[in-house]
Amino acid sequence: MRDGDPGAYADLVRRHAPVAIRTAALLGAGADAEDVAQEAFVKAYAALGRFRPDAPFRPWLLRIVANETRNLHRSAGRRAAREQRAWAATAPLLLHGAGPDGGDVAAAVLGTARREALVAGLGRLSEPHRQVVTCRYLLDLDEAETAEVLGWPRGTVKSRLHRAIAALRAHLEVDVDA
Amino acid sequence: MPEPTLTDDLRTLGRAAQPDVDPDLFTARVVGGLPSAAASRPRTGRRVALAALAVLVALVATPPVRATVAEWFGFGAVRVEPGGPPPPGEPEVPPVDGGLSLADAAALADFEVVAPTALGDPDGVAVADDGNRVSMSWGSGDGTVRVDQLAGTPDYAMVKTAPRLRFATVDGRDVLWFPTAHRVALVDEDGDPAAAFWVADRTMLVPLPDSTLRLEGPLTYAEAADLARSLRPVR
Repeated sequence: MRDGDPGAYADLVRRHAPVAIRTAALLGAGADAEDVAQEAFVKAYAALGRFRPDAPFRPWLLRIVANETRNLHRSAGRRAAREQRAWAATAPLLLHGAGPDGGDVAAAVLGTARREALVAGLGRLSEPHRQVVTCRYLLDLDEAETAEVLGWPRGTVKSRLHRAIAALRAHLEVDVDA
Repeated sequence: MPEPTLTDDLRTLGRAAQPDVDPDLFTARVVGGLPSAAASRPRTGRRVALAALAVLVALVATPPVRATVAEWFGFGAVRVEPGGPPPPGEPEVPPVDGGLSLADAAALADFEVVAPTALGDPDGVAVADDGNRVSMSWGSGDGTVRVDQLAGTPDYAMVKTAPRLRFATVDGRDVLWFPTAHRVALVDEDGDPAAAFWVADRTMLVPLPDSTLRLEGPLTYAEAADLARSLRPVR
């Protein structure tokens, strides 16, 4: 496959397509998630020669997905505007789910009020905090994968995650008190 | 108040946000768009080459998708437009009322006619469109099973709009399975719908060397696959 066998690559694509598309969607690609993931797979294929065969494929791929998602909002100007756009694309997906059953699944387990509170809380986090929570919990990646996808040192992931969860918890408690 | 389940809730929230994408279709898009996939296939001339290959597919959502699925799955004479609206009303499988024998149909058709031997002799057989289409059916009413075989040239095509479709392999062939009712229309040479849509029942599309076969009826996937495995040339 390292020599570029599209047939073998198809198996990799099929296996990782759902998580790649979900990563793009939750990191801010919104309706463009499928296109972003496709672009990432094509770039990954072109870069297979630089990929260490003993390394796991998933975090390497998802890092490309994360970069492609960022590129999507590059034209939005200032960083704050870019971040706002990314979150504006993600929040509805979390609130209403996707596909025929997505929203129902979340509603059945969490209930509308809890879901809305969580999304509101996530919306009040800083962008790095939101990103680390997205990778580690919404996408359920482990800490090492989160570090690779976001391009941060492991220690940074750990400390930001800790602070992000504390901040989120605080936001949720304030909402409950109010 | 402590929130012991906060991280669990976040995981649940994330899981429910899975975009509704067909992994097979997505894979076809990606792989068909790879540079070496395109380069490794000979770029032969247009119409003649398509007729020679006898299989053409166009997924018309976007032009790259059109090329992709044609190269990857090689279906002929049928154009699939995934993600279309759900069909209005109940599907209807019209029985074929032609009185030809299978041998007559084989003589009139422009391609090798096959029939599912598991069903025995059909109750109706007809040839249409200058030998470009052979239709046959078994039974009547709700239980009708129908087979249409279409010449695999790009000049004669059928368009299907299917919200959900699946790729599968039956007998070593890549087939398409439409597990629900869906819209179907014939299209003209330019690819525009030539007539109104009708609503088709569950269908398996089977690519053959010089034609494409659609097997339609109130069938489960396993039943349709059994029928597809029993396809034999009519002598």
